[in-house]
Amino acid sequence: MWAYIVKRLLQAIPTLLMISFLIFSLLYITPGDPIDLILSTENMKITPETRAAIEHEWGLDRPFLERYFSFIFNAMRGDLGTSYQTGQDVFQEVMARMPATLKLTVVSMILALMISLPLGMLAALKHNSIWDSLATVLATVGVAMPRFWFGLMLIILFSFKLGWLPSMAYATIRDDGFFKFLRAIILPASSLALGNAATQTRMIRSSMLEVLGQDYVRYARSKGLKEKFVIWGHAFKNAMIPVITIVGGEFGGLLGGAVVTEQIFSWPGVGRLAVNSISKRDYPMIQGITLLLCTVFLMINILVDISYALIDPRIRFVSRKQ
Amino acid sequence: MSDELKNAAAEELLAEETVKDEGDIGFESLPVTSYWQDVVRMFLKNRIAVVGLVMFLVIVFMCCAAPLFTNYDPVSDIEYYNVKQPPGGAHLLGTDHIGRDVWARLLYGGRTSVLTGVLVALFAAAIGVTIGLVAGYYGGTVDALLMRFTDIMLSFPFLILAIAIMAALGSSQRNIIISLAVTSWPGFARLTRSQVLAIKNSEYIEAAKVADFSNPRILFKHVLPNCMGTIIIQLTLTIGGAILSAAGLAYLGMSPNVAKPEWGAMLNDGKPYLRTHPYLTTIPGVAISITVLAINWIGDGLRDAFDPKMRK
Repeated sequence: MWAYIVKRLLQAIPTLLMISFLIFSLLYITPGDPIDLILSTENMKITPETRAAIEHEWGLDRPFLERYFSFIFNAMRGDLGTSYQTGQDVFQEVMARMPATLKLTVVSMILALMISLPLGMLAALKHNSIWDSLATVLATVGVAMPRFWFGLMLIILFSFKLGWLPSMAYATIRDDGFFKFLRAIILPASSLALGNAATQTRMIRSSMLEVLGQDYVRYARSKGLKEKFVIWGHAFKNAMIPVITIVGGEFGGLLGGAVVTEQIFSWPGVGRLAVNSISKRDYPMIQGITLLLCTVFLMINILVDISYALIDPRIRFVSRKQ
Repeated sequence: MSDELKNAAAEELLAEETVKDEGDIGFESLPVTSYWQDVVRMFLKNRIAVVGLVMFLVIVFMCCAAPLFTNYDPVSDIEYYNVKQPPGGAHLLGTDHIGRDVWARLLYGGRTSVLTGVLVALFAAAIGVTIGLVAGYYGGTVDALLMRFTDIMLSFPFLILAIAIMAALGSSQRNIIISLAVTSWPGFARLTRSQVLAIKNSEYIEAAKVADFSNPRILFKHVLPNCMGTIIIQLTLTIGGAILSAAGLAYLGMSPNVAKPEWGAMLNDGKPYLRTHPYLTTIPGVAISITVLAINWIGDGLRDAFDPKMRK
């Protein structure tokens, strides 16, 4: 198993190189000079000599490939450069924001599972009942709504009309306690969770229905096992296998979806930082954010694959060589 | 997938290579329905799918024939003295922050929003299907390289890439389409490739190879038609997804700040008035949701209609 993990980690390297190259080229062709943008916001004027000095310091006067390779070599040493805007170390600034984004995605994933698991199971076990219809309605309506718009509707209802929850707040468990944290995160997390709850409900329902029709379930029933054991001991485990893959893959979507959600709820995460940095042409920051987000995403994927193999004994790490 | 698919393709091959003997017993005595006729029949049997189709056609018609449904111009009719009027009265859905008719902007804006979704899906399909076909058919190194690239694209939080592309190209509706198409194709490539792998070794492809058809001819005349079902389903679902993502980009302020109406931009316009005039945000969102719902219902119906297991 360790060999497999090491192999997967090594495989992540070319992916990250490719992604950083993509983003680097994108930024290279992006119009708009970062120096001009900063000057215009600060309302300053500088001499051509100063400008040349800044360009030299930021490496903007060097050729494309040289800039790319120096970025890569520095990144390997953990140095992602300093932000054009704040002068802070990019790695530290992004990592300071990362917990907020991760909390948001994890809590919304938990929320989504809290809705989709019971609902999907009920829909499958009580096929063609009212629960089944409810699950189908949630699954179709949930994916049709823009997530951020659903968030706005939550704000209108729970913050403005009812006044129950704050529309923008940030709290951490350590500083403010669990209850305050929950109050702050519940709206953004719900808004982010909606789409996933919908797809998962649908997935769990169809996967469970398929498993319930299998021979081994019929056999388990025919040998007189209690229905409880048939469902939880035999059907549920097998039905969850495809669901786990889907759930793992959804983390990437959540990290991306968090961008807009963080914007709406003024959540101090990486997504907001990304939008800000892109509009300010803060090249080192954009580079750092994409690289670190992708790293997180790849790590999650590897974890999902490992847990997948642990749950399903039919999958052996060796057999994955293809 | 599919004996049906294979049969259909085999029939096509037969029709191409040999002249049908109309005198054969089988041809007259059995009612022959083609694969596509079957699909259409199955689709029309599905009530939700038909409701979705009708909803979508109504929406498209209302947007295209917008002048029939409103007397206001979405851009030039600005009533400065009459801003942020709630729905009802002379303005069916009220007026926005500078006094334009919301209903008119909704109708005209639908043209842009729906067209954006359709174009994104078409471009993404064009890129993804080509890559999937080539990767699946040629296999080997080509396949490994292309799929590695596809996986990399998939492992990227796509909205961030889309925003970065928007920043690079500048904000305009055309660039929203480009950035979403560039980020939406990997799904098509994956699906098409897996279809091609399933089809590649079937007898009619062997036959076509033996007949010394050129690779492009085999790919586009024999392999592609048999992937069509999967592609059409994905195409439908991508339209819905693209409408949602385009709205998200526009909401982040990525759409050009021009007077031209668009649903996502309308949401962005309503942003400052969320507390005081929530209908400015609610209405465009409802329009987006209903449209995407209709499209997804069509997609689900197509999925069932193309699924041979569903056909009895």
